[in-house]
Amino acid sequence: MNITAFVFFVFIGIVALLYYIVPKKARWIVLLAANIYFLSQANDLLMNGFWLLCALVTYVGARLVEGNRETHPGRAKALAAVSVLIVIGFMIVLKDSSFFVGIYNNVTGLLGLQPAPMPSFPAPMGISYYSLIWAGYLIEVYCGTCACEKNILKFLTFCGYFPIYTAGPIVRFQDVESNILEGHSFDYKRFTFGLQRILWGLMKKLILSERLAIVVNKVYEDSYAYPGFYVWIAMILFVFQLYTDFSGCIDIVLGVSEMLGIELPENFSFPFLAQSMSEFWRCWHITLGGWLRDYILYPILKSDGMQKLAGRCKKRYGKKMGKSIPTWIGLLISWFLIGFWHGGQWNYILGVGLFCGVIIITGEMLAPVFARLKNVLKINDKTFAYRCFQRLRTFLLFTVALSFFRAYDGLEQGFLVWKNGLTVYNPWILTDGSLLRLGLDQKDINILWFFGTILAVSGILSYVKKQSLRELIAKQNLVFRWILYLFLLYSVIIFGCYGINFDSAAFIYQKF
Amino acid sequence: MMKQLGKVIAFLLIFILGLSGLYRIFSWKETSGENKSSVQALYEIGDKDRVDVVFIGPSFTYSLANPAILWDDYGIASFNLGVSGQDTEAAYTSILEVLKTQTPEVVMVDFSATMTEGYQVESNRYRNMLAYRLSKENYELIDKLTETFDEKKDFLLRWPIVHTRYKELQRYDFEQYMPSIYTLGFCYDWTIMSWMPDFTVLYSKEQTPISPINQEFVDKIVALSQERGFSVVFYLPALDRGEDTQRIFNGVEAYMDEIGVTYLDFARNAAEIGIDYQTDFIDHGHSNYTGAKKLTDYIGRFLAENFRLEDHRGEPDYEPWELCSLYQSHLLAMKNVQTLSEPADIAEILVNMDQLVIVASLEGDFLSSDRDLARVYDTLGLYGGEYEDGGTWVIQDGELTDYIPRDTLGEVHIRVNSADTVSVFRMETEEGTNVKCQMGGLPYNPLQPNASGLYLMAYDKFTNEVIVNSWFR
Amino acid sequence: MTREEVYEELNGVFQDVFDDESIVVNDETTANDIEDWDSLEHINLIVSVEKKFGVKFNIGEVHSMQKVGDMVTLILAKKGC
Repeated sequence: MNITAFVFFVFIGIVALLYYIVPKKARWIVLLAANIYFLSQANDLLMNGFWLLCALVTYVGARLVEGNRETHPGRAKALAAVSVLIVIGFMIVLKDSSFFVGIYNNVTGLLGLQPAPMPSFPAPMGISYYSLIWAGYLIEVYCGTCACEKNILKFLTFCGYFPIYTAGPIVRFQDVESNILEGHSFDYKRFTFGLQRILWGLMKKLILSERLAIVVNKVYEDSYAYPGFYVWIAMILFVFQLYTDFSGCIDIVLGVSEMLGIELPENFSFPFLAQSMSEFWRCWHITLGGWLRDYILYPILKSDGMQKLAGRCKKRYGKKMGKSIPTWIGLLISWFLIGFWHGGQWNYILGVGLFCGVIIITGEMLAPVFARLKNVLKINDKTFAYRCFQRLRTFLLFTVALSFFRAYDGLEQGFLVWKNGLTVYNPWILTDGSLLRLGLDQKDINILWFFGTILAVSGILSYVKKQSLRELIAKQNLVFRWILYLFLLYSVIIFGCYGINFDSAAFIYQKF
Repeated sequence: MMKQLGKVIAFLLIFILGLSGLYRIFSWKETSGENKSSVQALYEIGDKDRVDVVFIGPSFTYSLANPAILWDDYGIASFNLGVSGQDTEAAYTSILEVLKTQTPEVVMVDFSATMTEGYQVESNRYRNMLAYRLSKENYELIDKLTETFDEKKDFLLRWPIVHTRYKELQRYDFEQYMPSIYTLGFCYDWTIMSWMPDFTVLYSKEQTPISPINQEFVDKIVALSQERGFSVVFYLPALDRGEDTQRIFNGVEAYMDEIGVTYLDFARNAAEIGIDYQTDFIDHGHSNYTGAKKLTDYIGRFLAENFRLEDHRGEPDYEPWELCSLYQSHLLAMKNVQTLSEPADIAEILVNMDQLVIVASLEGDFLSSDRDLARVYDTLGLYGGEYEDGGTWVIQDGELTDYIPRDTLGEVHIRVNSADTVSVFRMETEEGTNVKCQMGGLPYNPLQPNASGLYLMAYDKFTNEVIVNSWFR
Repeated sequence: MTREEVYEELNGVFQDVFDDESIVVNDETTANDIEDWDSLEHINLIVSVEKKFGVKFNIGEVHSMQKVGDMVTLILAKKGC
C-alpha cells in the first residue's frame, strides 16, 4: 500500500477512529489488526510467510536467550547468534545475493567457466528495515539491556508496526515498545500536529520529489543526449529529490504515529546545514547510522583483536595513530556495510558507502594539514562565511556520493554519466531554453522554485529558532494558521504529482 | 473539548467549501467553444422540464441536428446532447441523465457508434466520464469503461485527474462560455470539404449479424423507452464507411427491422434530404451548417408527420430556445455581412441587429470615394456631426453615444463583456489625426496615418464576434 | 567500592583519554560536556574504563549509558558493590 495513496489515508482515518474509540487497554489490538491488514495488502502469501517465519524466529530466539542468559551464557550466546544470523541472512539472501553472485561470476569469468544467472528474488516489504530492527532487539535481549516481550501478540504488534515498513525509521525495541503497546489518550494538539506533519511530507514528496525525479531520470537514462551541465544539474537535483522523497516519507510515517500518540525517532536533522561529512551522517538517515555504529562499529572497535592491533599501532606510531588506525579500519567496514545495506550493487557500496567513509577518514587524517593551511592563509574558521564554505563542501561531496547511488543500473552507468558530464562544456543550456527539454515546463519549474524556497526558508527558520515549524506556526493567530494549512492542502491537491496521469509515486527508499 | 470539535468542524467545512469552489474551476468542461460536449448546457436548462426532443450521439450528432431550426420552423423544444466520441454505453447513460430532469416525447439516437463495438478513444473516455455530475449512473459508466481499481477511484474522485488542469485553465473555466448554452448542443461549422462516398459499399446488401454489444445497446434503449414513455428513433449519419462497417450497419438495421424499431438512414435517403457531398460536409462524415440545415429540415418534417409535438413559440419559460434562435440569427447575419462588399449594404444589416457596438470613422479623402458612404451615414444614423466633416462615431445598442470630430483628439472605451474593453482613439499623426481601434492590446485597426475612406467596425456583444472590421476606400 | 572511589579513578581515565588534566566528571556529565567526546572516542573511553576497573561491558550496555552516572552504576553493579 503506497503511503501517499488516497486509500492509505482512508485506512489511517479508520485506524485512528477505532484507536480512540476502543478502551485504552485494548488500543494495541487495533494496531495489531491494522498491521495485519497492511501487511496482507503489501505482500503476497509467500512473502508474508517469510515475514512471519522471521518474526517467530525472533520471538522464540529472544525468549530462549533471555531464559538462558543467567544459567547457560554459552548457550544463550549461540542462540542469539543463530537467530540474528537467520534474520540478517534472510535479508542478505533476498536483497543482496546479486553481490555474491557478481563476485562468483567475476571468478568464473577469469577461469573461463559458466557464469551464474543474476538472482532476483522478491522480498517482503520493508525487509531491510525490519531485519535490522529485529536483529538489534535480539542483541539487546542477549546483552540484558532489554527485556524480551513474552506476549506473542504484543510482540507481533511491535514487529509489524505498519508505518515503518516503507522506509523506517530503524527503531529500537526498548525505546518504542511501551510507546506502541500502551494506549494513548487523545491529545488534540498532538493529533493535529501529526496531521500537519503528514501534510508537510506530502508536499515534499508529491510536489517536489516527483518533479525532480522527472529531470534526474531523463539525464541518467541518456547522458549522451544530456551531457555537460545537464549532468551537473541532474546530480544536484537528485540530492534534493532523495531528500524530499525520503524525508517526506519519514514525515508521513512520524506524522501518522504522532496522531496515534506514538513517538518515533527522527531520521533527519537539517542535513544540509552539516559542516562535515561525519556530521552530515549524524543528520541524514540518523537511525541507520546509529544502528551501524552501535551494532557493528562498536563491537568491532571493542573486540579483542582490534584492541591488540591498537596496542601494536600505539607502540609503533604513537598514541594518536594508535587510536586512529583501528578506528579507520572499523569505519571502513561500517561504511562498506552501509553501502551494502542499500543494495548488493557496487554503485551503492562505493557511492554511499566507501566514498563517504574515505572522505571522513581522509578528513581526519588531513586535519592537521588543514589546520596549518588555515593558519598560513589566515582563515578564521569561526566565521559565518567559513561555515557556509564547509556546508557547501559537504553538500558537494555528498552530491558526488549520490551521483553513484543514483546509478541504479550499476557502476558503469555512474562512470558513464560522469564521463559525459566532464567531456562536454555547455553552459549555454542554462540560458537558451534547453532546460525545458528535460520534461518539466516553465510552470513546473516555477512550482519547484516556489515550494523549494518555502522548504529552505522554513528549514532555516526552524533551525535558527530551535523549534519545529509546527510549533512556530501554532503560536500565530488562528486565521493565519488556517490560511497556511489550507494553502498547503490545496497546493498538494492541485500541484501534487499523483493520479493516473503520473507514474506511481513510489518511494525510492521503499525498495530497500 | 467542544471548542476543539467546533474548530475541527469549522476547518473541514471551510476546506470542503473551498474545494468545491475550486472544483467548479478545475472540473473538466468545454472551453474551446467547439462544443464537443453539451452536458453543461443540459444542466443549465435542466431546471425546468421543457425538452420535447433529444438528440443523443457522438460528434456526428452535434454537427447535424440544429435546435434553432426546429424552433424557428415548428416551435419544437429540442436539445442536442451530442458528445464527441460517445460510445454505445455512454449513449444509454446520457439518456438516463436527460430523463432525470426532462420528459421528452422523442429521443433520437445516433447508432453510428455501433461500428466501434464499444471502443473508446482516451480523450473521449474522459469527456464521457468526467462531464456528468456524480450519480449512480455516472458511477456505473465509470465502472464499465475502466479496468483497474485505481482508475475507477480516480475518475470517481475527479480531483486526481482534473487537478492537472492547473496548467491549462482558460477564461471559460472561470466564467460560463455562453455560446455553449445558446447553441443547445449544436456545433456551427462553416468549412467545406468535398468528397464522394463509395456507392457500391453504401448500397451493398451483405450484413454481419448484430453483435451482442450492439444488440444490448438497441434493446436497452428500446426497453427504456417503453418503461419511461418516450418514442425512440434511431438514425445513421451519412458518414464515410468501408465494407466491414457497412455490413455492421446493415446487420444493426436488419435487427431493428426485426424488432420493429424506427430508424432513419441519412446516407440511403440522401437524395430525398438533398444532401450534396460537395458542399455539405467539413470532412467525411461531419456536416457543416448547410448540411445540418438540410438534415434538420428533414428531421423536422419527419417529426411533424409522425408525432404531435407542441409549438411552444411565444410561451414563457422557453427563453433558452428564443436565445438559441437569436444566436443563430446573429451568426447568419455575420456570415451574410462577410459576403458583402458594399458598406452601405453592410450597414443595412447592422442596423437591424441588436447588441452591437459599431465604430464608424470617415477619414482623409472620403468625400471622393466611389462608394455610397453618405448612405452609410444615413442608415446608421450618424447625426452627431455633419457627414462632410468626417470624424469618428460610436454606436452602442443602436444609440449614438459618442462623436469625435476630425481635428480633435479623443478616446472612447466600451466594456463589451465581463473582461474585455473595445477602445477607440483619435490620435495625432503626421497627416493630422486618424482613428485607431483595439481590444485587449491587440489592434483591430492599427493607426494608419494616411488612411482614407470609411473605417467600419462592428462588435457583436451577443456572440463575442467581430462582424466587420475594414476600411472602405 | 563507593561511588566516590569510582570517581577518583574515573577522573584519571577521562584525563588520560582526552589528554586534558583538568577534566572532572560527575553523575550528570554527558558527551556534550567534553569537547572531544564523540562517538569514536566513546569506544576508546569504554575500553580504558574496562581496563582500569577490570570489568567488561557488552554492546547493549555501551550505548545504554546516557551519562557518566549510568556508567558508574554499571561499574558498581559489575564489581558486585
